[in-house]
Amino acid sequence: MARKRKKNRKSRAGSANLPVNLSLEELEAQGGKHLRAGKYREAVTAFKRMLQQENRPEWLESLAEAYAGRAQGLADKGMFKEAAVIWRNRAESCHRFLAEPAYIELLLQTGQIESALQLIQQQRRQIEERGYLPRLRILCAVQVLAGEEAFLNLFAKDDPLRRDFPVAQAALRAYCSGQDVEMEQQLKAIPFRSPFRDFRQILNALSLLEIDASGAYGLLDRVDAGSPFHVLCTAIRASQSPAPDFLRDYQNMGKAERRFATALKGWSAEQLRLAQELRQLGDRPSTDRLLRFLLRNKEILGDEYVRESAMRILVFHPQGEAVFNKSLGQLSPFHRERIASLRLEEDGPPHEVFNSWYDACVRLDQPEVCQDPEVALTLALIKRRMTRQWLRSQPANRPVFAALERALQLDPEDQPSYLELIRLYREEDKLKDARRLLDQALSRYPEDAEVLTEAVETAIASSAFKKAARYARRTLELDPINPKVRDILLHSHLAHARKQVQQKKLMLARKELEEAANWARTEQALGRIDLAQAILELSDGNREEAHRCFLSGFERTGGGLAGRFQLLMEAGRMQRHMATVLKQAQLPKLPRQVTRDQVLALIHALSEADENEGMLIEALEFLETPLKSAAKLDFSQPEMERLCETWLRLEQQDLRTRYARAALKRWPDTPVFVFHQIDASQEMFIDLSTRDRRQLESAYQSARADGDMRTVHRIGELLDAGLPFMEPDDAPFDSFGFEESSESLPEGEELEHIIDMLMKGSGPPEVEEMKRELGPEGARRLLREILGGNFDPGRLDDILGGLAQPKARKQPRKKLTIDDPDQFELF
Amino acid sequence: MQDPYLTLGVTRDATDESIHQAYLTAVRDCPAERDPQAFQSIRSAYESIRTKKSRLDYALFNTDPPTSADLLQRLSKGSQSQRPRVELFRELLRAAPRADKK
Repeated sequence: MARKRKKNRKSRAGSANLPVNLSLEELEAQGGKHLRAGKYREAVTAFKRMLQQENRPEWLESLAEAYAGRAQGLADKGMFKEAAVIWRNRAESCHRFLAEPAYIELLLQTGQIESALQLIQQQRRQIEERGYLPRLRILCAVQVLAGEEAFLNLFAKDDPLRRDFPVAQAALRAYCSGQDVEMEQQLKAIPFRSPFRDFRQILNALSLLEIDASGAYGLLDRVDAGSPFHVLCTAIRASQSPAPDFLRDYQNMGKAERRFATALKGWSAEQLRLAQELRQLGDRPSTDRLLRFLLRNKEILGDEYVRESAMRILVFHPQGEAVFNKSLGQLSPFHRERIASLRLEEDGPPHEVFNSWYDACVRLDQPEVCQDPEVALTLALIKRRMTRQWLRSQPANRPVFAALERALQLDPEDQPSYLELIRLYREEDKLKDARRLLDQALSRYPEDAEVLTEAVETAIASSAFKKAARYARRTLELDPINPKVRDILLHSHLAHARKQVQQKKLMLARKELEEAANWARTEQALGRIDLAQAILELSDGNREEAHRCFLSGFERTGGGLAGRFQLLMEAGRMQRHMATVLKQAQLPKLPRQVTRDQVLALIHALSEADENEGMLIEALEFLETPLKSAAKLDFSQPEMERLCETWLRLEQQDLRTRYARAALKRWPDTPVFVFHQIDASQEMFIDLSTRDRRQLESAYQSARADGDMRTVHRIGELLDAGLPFMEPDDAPFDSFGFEESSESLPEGEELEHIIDMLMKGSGPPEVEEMKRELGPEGARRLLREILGGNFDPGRLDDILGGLAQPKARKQPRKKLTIDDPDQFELF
Repeated sequence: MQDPYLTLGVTRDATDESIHQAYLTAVRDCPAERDPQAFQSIRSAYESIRTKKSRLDYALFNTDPPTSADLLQRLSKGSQSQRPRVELFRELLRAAPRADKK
């Protein structure tokens, strides 16, 4: 170790050494250069060597400057003793005055109070003559406030230090004992030039801190960073910073500063200990460590807070339930099911999530329990949550409607739920229910623009166009710039006009089209009115006017492919033969090769079209030939993706295959196009070929590497679907697919036939399981009850009477353990 | 998301009114133009717990585990700034030159 240290010292000395054979001029140049660069150690070496050869006053001056810089550098690093040694070398080698404030400060910094006192006493007169007294007074002011009152004796009785010290001390005592008025009076007696001036600012800031933090910081800002009182400012600021910042700063504080700042922050020793423990856990502690920390410190953090936070952790850390129960008591069944449901939401299949939430509700949804308004609200919120989760990926169905209706019974003051339910009923074509809900919503919110908008849409869906227009006008009275309603009105009048044309009520149809034009906001919309007008004119025998309207409508809706598409759609909506109308329209001929822009305009039109309109596919068939040849056009990659997505949405698999193939020629092995090409050409119920499977697997890896999770997911599903027959994971609530047909349950021969089908060979896994558990006859009886809509879990013994009872299972499957009659509704 | 109760400095059983007051105080102390990020977290904290229904929703469905910052804030809760004793001033001033130069 000693050798090592010696070696280090040698090498350090060596680095400061300058070449031996340098001339004086060269040394002077080097010394000056080092001095200017702040390389004080090298500068000291250079000037010392120069002075050994020739004693020049300017070199001595430079050496003193280099020593002072070196001492300051060491002091900045906290090496006060070493800095004091350099300072003494400076005084000795350069014949400089030793008792400069910087040196006295170093003595104080190293705790050499006596030496400092003696030096000041000995050099008192020179200190004064050299003008060091003001700075020295401040240094001594700090000392006397710290309790070193001997420093007072160094100054005359009328010196500001001795004069102001009692006042500063009294002000400090007044502040500490909370006597602010007294403190203010004392501080007023401290003059501007007093050595206690900074202290006065700090005490003022401290008393202001409690009522005006930014004002207090303003006062602290006035204390110079070089002031020996500045340490108080640092500690005060640290104490006021948020807990994480405080803890970070705390690590770098000295003992006295820590005690001062912690006291000012108001933290007890216990709080500080906990905070430090927490800091050791890091910014992102593991769930287990976090849970244990919470439970260990529940007294100081508060039982309720810890319980609530710990339950959130259990969502991601089910293993923690045992320690939770041990520390906070058994988790209630409701919370266990709530936590399990939240956990399932992360990655569980939709029907399991729904059923899990359903289970959580069962205990609460009892007449005597849900009378409590908070329980009722809890139930309503859960029911809305479970339906929202379901609807993220699945279509609405009976259990969803039932849950939403129940939520409204429990919490009828929830306008968004009315809107959602009305919309869902309408989408599912359950218009009677939509109207029922709408009536309820309108009676509660008669002036609500959103409810009125739903009323408009529901009326249109019911073909009650006059009613729709009435609701729309009411909506616009409340919200004059409601673009949605304007569009709805436009479409309502258009739809009504078509109805009139079909019924040959042409005058009325004209009026409707005039009304529609009042609400049209775009060229597109006007174009569609023109096209409707054209067909009306045809019906009225006005061929010329019809031709004019066709051309105008065609141009306004984009011409080319898009205009043709809109014309065909309008013909379809008017229930006209598309080919005939297209011929009658006498549109300009479509060029042999359509352009890229024409295709993109059509894609835009298709994206706005309602794909549920039956005539859409028929209209598209007229454009198939130009669209096929357009696959080779120079589309960009995102455009090509959009095109493939459109063909997928519209189930145009031939077009999709062509476009995906063309894209793969330009961008080989691009995962999204590999997916489109194979998926589009894949025939149902036929396994993937080995080649396709390999290609998909490779695309899967590439997509994953690119972070394209959508394609990863799609390819994954395609690969899974390509396996031999599997039960779909996402079958809502059951595997039999009877959910939607439960309104007309099978019976008699039909029922027996279905049971026979299910029992034959390898049926659905659930049936196979029933057969295993209950035997063929037991399974048959159970199926008869379930499918016949008579199943009652309480009658299981009766149903299986005379047969072996189901075996006890370690983990009964949810689908077979229906213990609630309502749950059966899910089948 | 940070615990909205801690962000607004209200208790778990706070009423609509007290939460609204706490929100107004918080946005006054931290206006959007001074610290947009802090303002946004105050705003979303308020939205999370402003009504009884939203508080219940938060309690039932929020799954954000407490962050270290939450817990530190929770630890500081109820701690009121205390005036240090004269001895602590003396201790710090005695160590002053050393402490501040570190």
